[in-house]
Amino acid sequence: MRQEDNYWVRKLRARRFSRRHFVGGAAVAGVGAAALGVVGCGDDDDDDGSIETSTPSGSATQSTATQPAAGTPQKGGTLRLVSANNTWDTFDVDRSRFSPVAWLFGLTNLGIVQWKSFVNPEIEGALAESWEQPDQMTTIFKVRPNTFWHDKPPVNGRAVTADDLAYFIERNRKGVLLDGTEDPNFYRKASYASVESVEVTDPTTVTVRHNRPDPFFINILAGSYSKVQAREAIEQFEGQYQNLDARLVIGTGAFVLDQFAAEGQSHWSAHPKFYTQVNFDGVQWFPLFTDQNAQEVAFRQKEIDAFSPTQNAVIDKLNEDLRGQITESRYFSGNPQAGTYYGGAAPWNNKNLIGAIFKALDRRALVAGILQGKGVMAANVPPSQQAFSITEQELQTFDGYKADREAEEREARQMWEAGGGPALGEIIVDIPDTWEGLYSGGAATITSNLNRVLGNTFTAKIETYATITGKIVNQEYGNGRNNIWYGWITEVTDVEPTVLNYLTYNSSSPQWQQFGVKSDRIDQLTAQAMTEFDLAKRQELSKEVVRECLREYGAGVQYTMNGISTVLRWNYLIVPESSPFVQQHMYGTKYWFNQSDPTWQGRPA
Amino acid sequence: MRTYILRRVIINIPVIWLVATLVFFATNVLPGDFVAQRIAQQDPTGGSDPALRERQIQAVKKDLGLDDPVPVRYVKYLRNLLKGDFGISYQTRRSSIEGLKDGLPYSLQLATMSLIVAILTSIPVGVISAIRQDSIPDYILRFLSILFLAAPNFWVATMAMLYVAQWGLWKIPVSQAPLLWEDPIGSLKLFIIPAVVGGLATGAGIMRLLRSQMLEVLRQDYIRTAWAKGMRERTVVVRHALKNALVPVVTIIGLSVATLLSGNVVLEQLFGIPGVGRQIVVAIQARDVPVVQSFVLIVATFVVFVNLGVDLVYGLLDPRIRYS
Repeated sequence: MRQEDNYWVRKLRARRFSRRHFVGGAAVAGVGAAALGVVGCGDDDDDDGSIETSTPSGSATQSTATQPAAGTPQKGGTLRLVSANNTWDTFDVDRSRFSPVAWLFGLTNLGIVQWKSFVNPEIEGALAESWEQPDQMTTIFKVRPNTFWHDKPPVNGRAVTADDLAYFIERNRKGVLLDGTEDPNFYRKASYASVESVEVTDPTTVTVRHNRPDPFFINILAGSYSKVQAREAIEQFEGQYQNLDARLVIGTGAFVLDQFAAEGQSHWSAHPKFYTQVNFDGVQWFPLFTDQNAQEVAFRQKEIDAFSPTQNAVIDKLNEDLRGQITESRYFSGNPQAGTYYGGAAPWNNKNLIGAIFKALDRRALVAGILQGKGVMAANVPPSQQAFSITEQELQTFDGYKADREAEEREARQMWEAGGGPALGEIIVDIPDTWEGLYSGGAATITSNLNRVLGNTFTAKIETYATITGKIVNQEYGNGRNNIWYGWITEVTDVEPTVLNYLTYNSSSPQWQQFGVKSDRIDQLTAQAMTEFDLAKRQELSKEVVRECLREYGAGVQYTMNGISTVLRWNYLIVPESSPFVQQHMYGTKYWFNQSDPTWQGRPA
Repeated sequence: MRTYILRRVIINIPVIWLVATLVFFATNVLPGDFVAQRIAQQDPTGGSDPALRERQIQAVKKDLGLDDPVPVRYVKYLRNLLKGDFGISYQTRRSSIEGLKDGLPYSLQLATMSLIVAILTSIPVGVISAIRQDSIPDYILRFLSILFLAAPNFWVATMAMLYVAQWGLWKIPVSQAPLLWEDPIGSLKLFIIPAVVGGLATGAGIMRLLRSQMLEVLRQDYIRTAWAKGMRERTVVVRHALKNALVPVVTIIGLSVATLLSGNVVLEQLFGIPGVGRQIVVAIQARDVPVVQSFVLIVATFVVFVNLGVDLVYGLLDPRIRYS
């Protein structure tokens, strides 16, 4: 897809900024958690925005595509970022599911492989220098030489071995503790179900045999929680990881965790024996919490190197005051916004009713009103996974996204009446408390939109996410109840949507039960994609899934829009690429300080 | 006096128990427990098998002790309190008061500086305003006091901080938050704005009360007698009038101390000061019940003993007040 065809790119470029590059990524932003200030910015070259497909995930070949040059990385300086309102569950990354843990381990631990580029989906070796897949049932990894653990007891800086890689895969595959107890907290155990056996065939080689073809095995190993830990550390600390102590985090990553405080400052220093140059001397997290004023002051004073303002007025003021000194980058949020319902029973098994709601939602108005214009309309595959979705022009040809709102609303009313909607009476729209807290008045915007178009009384009810999730799981949005909900849905955490599409829309998946909208065509497409090794074909299949979901009015998940986040950074901070995904593993080797830049002057040491 | 103090301490114990009970039940009826809330926020539409997720939630709840019925948890809670165990924070997995202990020096410093500003501004201003009643200085000072009372202190502080940063008057070390004994100059650069803003707002209320008390005392016969005896104005005002006018003012100052210490949440958030106020907001939003319970209990205990202190100060100010 060429960038100049993209309506949203044209809209963004129409605004005047000192430097800006729109990339199909999003800030790392979890619900309730402040974004880390640094996400990268693509270079300002004139690439056409197309997504390179030279490195199919799961393929036997590795990409040789390189990033555009951005100067020679210089060494020096401590990267300073904001981190706030984080929630931690454990320092055993195999048993964690909270994003801040993934961020932390991205700095300290390498995986077997890692994402070299999210913008042009490309995986490179990390602890594995190379890998090959001689057939669809075998993956062979070659251990990278001269890689060492951090010098902390009990690992004490020893060299990485093939056994470390094998142990990691086996531990996640089995999902049991040292005493053999099965632990449901091995959240990604199902992802390793295709692993039949793991064998250290020689001191530098690990051979994995699969029980079925798995196109996503390499993706899984590149995941944000797929960080290798040392056996002896797990054996010593397994019962202590919930204590969240810096001494428990021992990895092979670019940075060593020196100091950790859950709601205080944390500090990392460069790993002296990292296998390649680490550009920063260290990293510091400051707990400036969610207060934008404190962050703005810290950013102006160069106490932090990047800042994510939420208010347009603040962005404009900073761009005006610091023109030519800072760079602005814009990213799609990792949290799509949608409503869901259970379509397996009345009332929402009636396509007229659910189609009416789908069409009645004025997505453009929602973007303007709730997101202050900082957002885009989106379908089930969000803009951060654009290579797997239809173009914006095509999206606008589907119900719910058309420009002719008068016609859409008229048709919505007709469908609503044809489906017996007026007889339903009051419809309750559950809204998450944290969503309404951020978008004050957003609940009223949604309900007044639906009230106006459909005529029934749509009443907002503020609920916690725990309540909403429970109701989703128990099929309570519908199923005899005049109840739907709207808010942020599952965060996008992978470069491609194939697995999540399967889990959500394929009727053989347990998760599908929550929505219950059966489509034979979607079943066929999603099943086919799960066994397709060719990336280009998977992209086309994904686009077909998008189209079918749109024809089914969301197939249980009525997507509306994606927010756009802004990150401002001082020009001395060079960030070759941004992404919506966990990218902390890139900090040490791809980010750097240009100390020759004029803005470097005055930065506190 | 000793008997009085002992009696007051003994009476405070059931008060503290009542507060502990109220806060326990109040926090346990909050919608959404910590575990379900956090997991739900991360994955509301089920990126994982719902049955597996339910097992995960139950496992974590068991680990946090949330699987017991509420009465059982209440008994355990009281038993632990008697042992000095305030529970473990769900978020940080440390003792729930450890985070509060970390934040206490910052809140204490901010509270102390605010109080100093409040007292240093309110007492002279209140006195001057009273003794120069209906004069131009009185009008100006009353106008300013109303202004500081009316203007939201978070707005004043925000404006002050942003303009200091924009105009480069001095660098506010928001990312460091040094304490006075760590870096006196740096600490003053950070704390001066919230201390002055918070102190002036508190002082404005004290000033108005002091002014009205002074006006009442200055009309008393013994003050007229003091004037008639030819005493200097300073002696009449400070030694005779002010001491008597201060009794109700001390009460207000005592209440202000409790309020200031319980965390000037807004100012701490604005200036990135890692005090207890900011921590408690995080805990409430995250449903980190042990931290919320600990904080409320500690503040309640502090308030009851501050009130005891205030009562004892009355005796110092007014010899007619004696405790048996």
